[in-house]
Amino acid sequence: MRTTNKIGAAILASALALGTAFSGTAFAGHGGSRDLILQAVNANSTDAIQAELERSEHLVCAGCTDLVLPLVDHLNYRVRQAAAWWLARRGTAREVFVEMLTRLSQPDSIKARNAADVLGEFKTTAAIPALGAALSNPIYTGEARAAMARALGAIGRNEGAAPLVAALSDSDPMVKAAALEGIRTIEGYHDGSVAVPLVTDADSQVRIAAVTTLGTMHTSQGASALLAALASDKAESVRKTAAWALGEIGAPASVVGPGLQAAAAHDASPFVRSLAQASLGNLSR
Amino acid sequence: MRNQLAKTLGLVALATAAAAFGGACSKSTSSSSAALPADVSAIVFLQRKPRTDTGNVFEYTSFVAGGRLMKLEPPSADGKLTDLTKLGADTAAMTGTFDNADIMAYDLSFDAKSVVFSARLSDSGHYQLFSMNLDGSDLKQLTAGDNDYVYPLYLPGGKIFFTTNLNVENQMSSLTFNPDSKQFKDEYERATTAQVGTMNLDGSNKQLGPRNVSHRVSPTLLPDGHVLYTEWRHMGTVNDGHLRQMNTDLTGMREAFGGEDGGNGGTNSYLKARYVQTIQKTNADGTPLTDVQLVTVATSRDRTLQSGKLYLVDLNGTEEKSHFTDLTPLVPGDRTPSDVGRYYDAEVVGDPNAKQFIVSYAPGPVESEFLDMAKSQANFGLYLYDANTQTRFPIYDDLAFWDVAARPVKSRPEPIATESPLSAGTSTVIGALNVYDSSVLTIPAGSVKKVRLIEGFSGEEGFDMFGTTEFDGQSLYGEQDINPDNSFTASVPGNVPFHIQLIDKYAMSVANESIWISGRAGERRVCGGCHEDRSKTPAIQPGQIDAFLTGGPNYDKPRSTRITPFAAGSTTAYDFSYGNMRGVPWDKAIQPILDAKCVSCHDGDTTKMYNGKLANPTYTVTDNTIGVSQTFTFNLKGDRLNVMIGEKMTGAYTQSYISVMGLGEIIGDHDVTITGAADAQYGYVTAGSAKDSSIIKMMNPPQRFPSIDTTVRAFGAGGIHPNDITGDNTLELSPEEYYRFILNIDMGGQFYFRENRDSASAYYATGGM
Repeated sequence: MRTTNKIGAAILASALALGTAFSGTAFAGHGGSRDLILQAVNANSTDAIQAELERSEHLVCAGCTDLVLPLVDHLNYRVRQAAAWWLARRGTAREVFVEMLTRLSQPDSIKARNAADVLGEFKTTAAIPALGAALSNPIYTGEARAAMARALGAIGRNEGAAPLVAALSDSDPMVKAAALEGIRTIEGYHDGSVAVPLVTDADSQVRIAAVTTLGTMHTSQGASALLAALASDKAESVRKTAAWALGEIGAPASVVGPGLQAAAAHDASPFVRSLAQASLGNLSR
Repeated sequence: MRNQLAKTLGLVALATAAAAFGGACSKSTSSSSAALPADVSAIVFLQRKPRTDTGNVFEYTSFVAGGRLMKLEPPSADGKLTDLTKLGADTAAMTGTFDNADIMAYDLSFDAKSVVFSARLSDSGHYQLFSMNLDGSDLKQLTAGDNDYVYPLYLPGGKIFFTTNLNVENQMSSLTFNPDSKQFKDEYERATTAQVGTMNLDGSNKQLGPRNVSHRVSPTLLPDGHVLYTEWRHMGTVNDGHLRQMNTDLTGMREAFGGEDGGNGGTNSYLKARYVQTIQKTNADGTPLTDVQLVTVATSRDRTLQSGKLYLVDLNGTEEKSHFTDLTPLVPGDRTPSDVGRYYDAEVVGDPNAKQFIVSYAPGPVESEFLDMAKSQANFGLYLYDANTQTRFPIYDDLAFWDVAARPVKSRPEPIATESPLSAGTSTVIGALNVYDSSVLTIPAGSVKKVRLIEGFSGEEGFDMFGTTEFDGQSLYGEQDINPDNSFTASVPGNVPFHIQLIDKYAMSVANESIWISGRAGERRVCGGCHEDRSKTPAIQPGQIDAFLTGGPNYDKPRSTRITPFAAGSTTAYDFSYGNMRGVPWDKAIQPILDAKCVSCHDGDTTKMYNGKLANPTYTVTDNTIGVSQTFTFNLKGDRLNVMIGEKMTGAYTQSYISVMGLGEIIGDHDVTITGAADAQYGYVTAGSAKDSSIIKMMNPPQRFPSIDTTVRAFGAGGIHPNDITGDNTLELSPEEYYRFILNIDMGGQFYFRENRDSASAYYATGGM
């Protein structure tokens, strides 16, 4: 007990002393330092790491790069994302970029996943070919390849559409769902109908992703598939999403109205019923 | 039994915390219920699992499974505790639906019989809206899909207000539908910003407010029918969270508190504001003033778990006259670990003049890094806080949860809806009756020749950065004359944020408020002036109404055309002539000027001297963290600057850009030593203000409006660079070239615009530009 108190007191004293070093409150985004980043990293505090990296956006600090670079392999995605954002603003950005590209041709899936997260944050088209190739590389786990798909979506450029569409035929449900998610954010790519075949996928998460894609991309050609999912999919989550999507795709009320009315009246789930009712109200928009 | 244990443990924990952290400033007692006003017969509140990753005050997606919506009746130690979310699910025969969910916000209906709440279910990656009656009946899910819906509020007229990361421009119902438009990324180009919307009580008829560059969070409905909310304001070095207000139809957004005198001396951000009372006052000139009084959390932007001080704020009709009173003076307003705890929210109860609040309060440091370091978590419990005596009385505290957002279960009057008429079409009309009428800007009489209108955007368009100067992405709509009566009006794309600058006859900004404005499609945003005194009655001149109704010049062009066009006959070279230029990409619009007229002298040669001055001064930055140094030499060539000291934002920029922008803006932050030429260190640009930039003063641009006159100069009859060196005007910039420099600097001194978005990619691919 005494030991605990001493540790607590020491931590408190340290933190209170540190408080005097904090800058004023008028402007956030300034006042960072290597010591503050180091302290946040040592505390392994996601919140503090993110805050300190944001605060040191403009920090001239060569010694900080060595602190931040290992964070691209942090267990927490938010930390990896913040580290990538910070590194993209440094003079060493291209070295980091090249290193991450190199990781996409080595066999460690965790390293490859983390590299994808970084490259997505860099938002440069120069990464698309390597990410596209890694997306279809069977040496990587589904989780890693899903990260490739998300990175292509984060970059959001049309050059990423082809590998994402190809990934819709992947055998791994995680990859298919991530590819659908990525497709939704590709600039200039408007063909949501590529999701239609996956509305009947064996995996419910893929079905939800497909239905979400049709709704988000306002794909009226998906009306029949969505109506079928609403009427008969055994997963409530899929039926809920289909009920919502039918109000988003811009299909005529004469086409989707009856199916929505039936679901609003008779579906076993009150959530499906209420979402179908909401979509019926949207058809007149 | 478990509740009783929780309360007992809560008191023990409170006592322990009070002892451990120096006793704090407030007294805590175990006798609580007697202090609550008699009309508070029951409360509803949220229980959220403790966490340390709430993020900054604008984040809205922190998820830890296990949250629930609770009712305590009466709000006392022996009160009956009801899990409303479980009750709703059980009543709907959906037992277990909310197991492992998180509830982030809710609102009680005006008759206090139903509730709308934002929950993320265990099988979903997003927060969605649900509603139910307090007796557990009529449970509904109102939203679904690939976005988050948070912070619901009941609005008058059978509507629900919410914030969401949906984008109004990508909705089928929007007149400005554009499938390639994405909702903005925030200042740090990562989180998708939250914007406002409304829907019917059944989830239908979703309407979204105008797109915004930064987050809009923590709304509350005022009895006068306005919605108050927190908005992240970011332009240049401004970076904070202010209170703003809007109509219930998402029009008429304007400042309320935080940006001017009322917020100065306070904290960085204000959030979770709640109504206290309305007070009738009298202005100094004897006119009546209706003051709306609020209580709000006041804190740092980050690391304080979205908790902090409590401020009592008097809006006093205008932001300029707003005023705050610190109700918790010993609680730190910054992110320092507290030794007296922090407040998560507050709700006034009883007589508002008695200043009693149900609060969520946690003892101890309530700072994320400290808590993570100690492998501990903040424990928010419910208290009655008497601000007059700064005394807390415990109401309820379950150690397994954050007990937050308590509201008395009692009906309240339904306000009238506040609305602005919306015209048909896609545009927002912006105008001012008199551009010189301003309570915050000093605008020299007769100085304004035109109004410059600028579109704002962010990283969602495929940028990971724009430049070294902290400004958002910008694109020029156009510049138009002001009318003889000093008014102006124009039509800009609705739902898109824009920025206004008043420019002088040299095309330089003379007034530049650091805020993005946005209006709905069809909204007319006509002000008395440029941030005029809103307590005054504007004087409308003959003919002005007609001008505002017609909407003035139309800058509402399709998104795909809001980029500088290519020159005639070219598919690669932009036409940067006046009237066509939208962005001023450094490598494409500025560098050619430098190559043609500047690099013959400013080429990095440290030996060149003219008139006894070095043409290419040097300075050395020594990074004291590891002792590495790098010498920078003024050089206006367009090759990439090789950086060796691992410092900030130079990898994808050119020698010329860093030479002109300098490192001055960042020097104050760092443990670095800089030696050498002072001018070069600090750069030659004041980002956002060409008229304050030494490079512009040195070049001394000629009059541009109403017509170009090279005999009239912005900075008098003094020197014109480089004529002062060459002795003639052979290398002087042309009027078009002056204008490019001025526009680039006035729009933030950025390197990247829509026109050169792929330049960074080339750098990453090849190492070159």
